Amino acid sequence: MQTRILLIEDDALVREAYQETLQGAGFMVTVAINGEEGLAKAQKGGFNIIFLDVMMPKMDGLQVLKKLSEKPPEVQNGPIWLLTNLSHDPVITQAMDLGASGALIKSDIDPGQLIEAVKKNASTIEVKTEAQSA
Amino acid sequence: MQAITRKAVFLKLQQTVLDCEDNHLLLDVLLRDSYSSLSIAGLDYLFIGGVFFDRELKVSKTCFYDETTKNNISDDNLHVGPISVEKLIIQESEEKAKLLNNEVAITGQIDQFIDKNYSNFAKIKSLILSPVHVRGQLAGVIILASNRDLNSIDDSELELIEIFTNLVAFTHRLQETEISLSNITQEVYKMNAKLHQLDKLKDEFVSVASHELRTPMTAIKSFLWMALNKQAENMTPDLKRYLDHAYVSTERLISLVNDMLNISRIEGGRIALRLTEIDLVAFAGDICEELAPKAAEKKIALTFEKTAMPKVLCDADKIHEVFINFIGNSLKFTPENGKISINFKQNEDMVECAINDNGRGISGEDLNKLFTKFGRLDNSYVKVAESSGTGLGLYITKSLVEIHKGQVTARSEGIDRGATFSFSLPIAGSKTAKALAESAPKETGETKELEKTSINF
Repeated sequence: MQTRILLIEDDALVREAYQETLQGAGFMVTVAINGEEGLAKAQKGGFNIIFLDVMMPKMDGLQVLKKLSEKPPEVQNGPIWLLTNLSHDPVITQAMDLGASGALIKSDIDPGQLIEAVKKNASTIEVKTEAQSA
Repeated sequence: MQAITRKAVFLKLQQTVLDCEDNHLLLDVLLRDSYSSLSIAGLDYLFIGGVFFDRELKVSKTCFYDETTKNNISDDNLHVGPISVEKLIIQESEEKAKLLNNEVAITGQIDQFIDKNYSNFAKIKSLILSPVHVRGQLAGVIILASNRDLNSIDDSELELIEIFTNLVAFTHRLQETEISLSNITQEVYKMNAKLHQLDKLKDEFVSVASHELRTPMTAIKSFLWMALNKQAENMTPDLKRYLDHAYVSTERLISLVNDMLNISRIEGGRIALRLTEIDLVAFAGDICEELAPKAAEKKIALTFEKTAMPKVLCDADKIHEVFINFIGNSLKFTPENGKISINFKQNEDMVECAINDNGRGISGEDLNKLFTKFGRLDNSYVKVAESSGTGLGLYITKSLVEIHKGQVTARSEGIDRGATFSFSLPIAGSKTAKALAESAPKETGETKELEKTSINF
């Protein structure tokens, strides 16, 4: 089974680098360029792991988490990891309270470490076809 | 008998001033009480009025007491009860001249100063105008209306009025001082609040600016990593070297942002200390084990002295940073086959830990720059020779030790003669440790952790 990743990241270049790296490692990557789009895709469910940026246009990462916890998708997702540059910020604690499983500081990791994070943390849930069409 | 009564009256009036809690009402309270108290001392007046002004003789305060009026503060500052301030102070008169000369003026010309419609006008036979002098200047006038003739006002009454006026002058000065002091205090509070707010803004700015800096740095780092890891076989050795150097420099830039965040937090008192009692020797042993692979890579013998030392009070995470920084520094500047040893000694309230190496050493002129930001002294652009780090590591290390009430030192006999870095921490239970426990920043919503610091060994 191919690991499915949702990457919600507004910075085009960072998104491109991560998408390419993750795809290169054999994962199936869906991207979203802002919180709103990210929420819509996450609500369809079926991702083994979701990487969520915090500061984004339209809807920030905290709101995405809040909406997802208020109305969990019918098809379950794997863990949501914050992928942010806001280290040691109260926002990270808030995100954990809202259901995030962890946080990665983008500037502290290289793409290789992102691949490791997927291997270590992605859930092994069976994915339904709906998300595959996303 | 009368002398005793007078003394008692004055003591009571003084006490009234001393007991008054509202600094703005000192004069009002004194004059209000005087109206009744002076009559006990045998000095009966139909009213007591007071007018006070600033250096330009502009009226700043008035008060008026008689049998029916508790206090009459004029709205226009032109009248004090029935007294015309204009005639008293503004228009030139014999009386005004005397007052300016710090002399008591007594007059029978009642209608010159008092409104004829005043209910007690007919009873007033004489007016005593007593100047309140403060700092050699006319600061006010006390106006007493007597139902006795001019001739009946004798020296003893005037003497008493002089004492009373002096008390008013003291009270006036006290009130001015107290008010200006409370204004200053309020200003200081306001400024302090503003500084606090500015500090918060600065912190927010540093925080947001670092976030904004980190985003493009993440992209640079990621693409360089991708080039170096995925396209390495397609690269000429030169291109690979260029990209390697770009990658290292990006890492350095990221460390710089982290260090600047750390400094902003340490200097703003926003790094909380989780104090515990630790065995510094065992702690150093763990760190040596952690760094053993790095030391082995450079064929450096990293050893620590197993000795018994009292426990120290510190935040283990922060002291871990201190060790990593100092040992990392030694690893960086010690050539292959060198030695690094860690020793301990007790000095009064403190345990001192020294990290010795037989590496490159430090020149005398650089020694005093080591712990400064960017290795520079104020007003100088000369940096510490050769530093490939952020230039902030030792400053942060020093700050971390100092928030533990410890000290750092660096010694070196000179170039190629090795160096010794040492730091001290308070022994658990000592006076210094108690002071540390009291003063250490506690965890609050505003405190944060240290950013990851990276050492280029």
